[in-house]
Amino acid sequence: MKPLLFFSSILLLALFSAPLLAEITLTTVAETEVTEVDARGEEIVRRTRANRVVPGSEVIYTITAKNSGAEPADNVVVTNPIPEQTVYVDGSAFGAGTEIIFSADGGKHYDAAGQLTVKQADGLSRAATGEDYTHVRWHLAFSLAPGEEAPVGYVVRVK
Amino acid sequence: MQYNNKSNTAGLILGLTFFIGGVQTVHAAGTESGITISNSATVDYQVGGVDQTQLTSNAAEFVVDNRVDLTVANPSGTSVVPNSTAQALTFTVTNTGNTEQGYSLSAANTGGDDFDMTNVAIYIEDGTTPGFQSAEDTQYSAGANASDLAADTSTTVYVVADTPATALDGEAADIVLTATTLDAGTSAITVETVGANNAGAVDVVFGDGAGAADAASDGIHSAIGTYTVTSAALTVSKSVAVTDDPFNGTTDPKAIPGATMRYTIDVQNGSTTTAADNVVLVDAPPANTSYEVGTITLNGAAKTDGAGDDEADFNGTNANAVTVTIPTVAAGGTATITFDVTID
Repeated sequence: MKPLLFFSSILLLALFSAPLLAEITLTTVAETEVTEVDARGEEIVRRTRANRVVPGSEVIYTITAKNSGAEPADNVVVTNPIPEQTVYVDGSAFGAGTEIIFSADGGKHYDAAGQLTVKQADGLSRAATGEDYTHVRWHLAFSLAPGEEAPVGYVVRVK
Repeated sequence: MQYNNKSNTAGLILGLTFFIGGVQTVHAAGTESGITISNSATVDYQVGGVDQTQLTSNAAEFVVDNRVDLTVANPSGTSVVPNSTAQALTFTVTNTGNTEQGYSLSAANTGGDDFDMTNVAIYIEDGTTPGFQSAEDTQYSAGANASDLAADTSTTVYVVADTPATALDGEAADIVLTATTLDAGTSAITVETVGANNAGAVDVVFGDGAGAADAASDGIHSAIGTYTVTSAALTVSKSVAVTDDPFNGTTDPKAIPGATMRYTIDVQNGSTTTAADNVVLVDAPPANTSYEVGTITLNGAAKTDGAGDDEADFNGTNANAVTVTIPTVAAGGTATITFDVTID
């Protein structure tokens, strides 16, 4: 009995001194798609762990936020810097029920695709394209309930 | 503040320039094989209106594999004249992949063209003097590694061959140069990784396009270079007309004994590109005629009979014959020689 009591008090202490218990686990997976021909001669696209990646290859990043705590998580914002050896593929970001915004200045400023500009060498601004993006950010429009998962992601092309 | 901080601004511009330079190089060569691309995301959230500590995901990592890609190109063909030796076609071999590789080379005549070049050899530019010099550039021996090339670098290769004497003006001979990817520093042909990806290791993927004589994705590339023969194409035509006779003079003269006959010889160069130099024409007056002294003309200009003083002579260079050395018959041009004989 004693250990349980002790444990409970720790739990209570944690509840009062720290924010409520809600724990998000975040996993990032890099995958590639391979087209294979099955026994019936039909092409099937299979997704595997990043495989045979060479310059020009497209890699799919999937980031899954899972609420493994007991309380709903609100205002969940997932941010991912695009790896420097890769380029964001226009229009590839996904995430059901999320608002997707991008940064083209190293994460200082975020806006919707098509709203961002970058300064050119001549000092003038032009519309930013996927090649200019440095970060992708997802605002979950919903609360992540305990046990719920929200997969988001995008595609990059290796430089 | 921006006015008294000039040194900072300069530093920023310098840094920016450097950054752009670096990006261009990466774009051109592609990400080098063996580099690990790592990605981890962060999440911010609230519970009950309270900000929680930002969390970072695992790092999703993969290693960039070796995309073998090469380009053989022949920017321009070479003009040759028949019977010329050591004629060079210039090719470039470029490593368009993302890993340093070696290359073996082969050169061969192709079918379907007008003729074949002979003594086909390959030389590698040694960098001392641009262009092919047999004394400087390195002759390539079959199967060897011609040169290790870092990603996005190229080397100049010469196909060197002799033109047969029988090649005619306007004819073409095609040579295909083939480069095969080798492991850098060796003469071992690079092999594509079969089967599953080796996570964390560099796999080999053939990403080359189809060349003139090879398929796509085979680690091989080839291009055709063309030798085109530019030569003079001479035709000679000869006509004769009676110019006067002892009875009629120059009015309706007849070819009777004592009449003067004028031979007109046209040397025509049918080539559209190449002049013929030092064309030697020899013509002996036929039997039953006698050469009339001092009647040789070349392109309308009178020439002497003596040897060595001008382009023409009689009974000098060749016994009892007219010899004319035409300095040049231009491309598409005609040289005209006349001389007179008397019917015996």
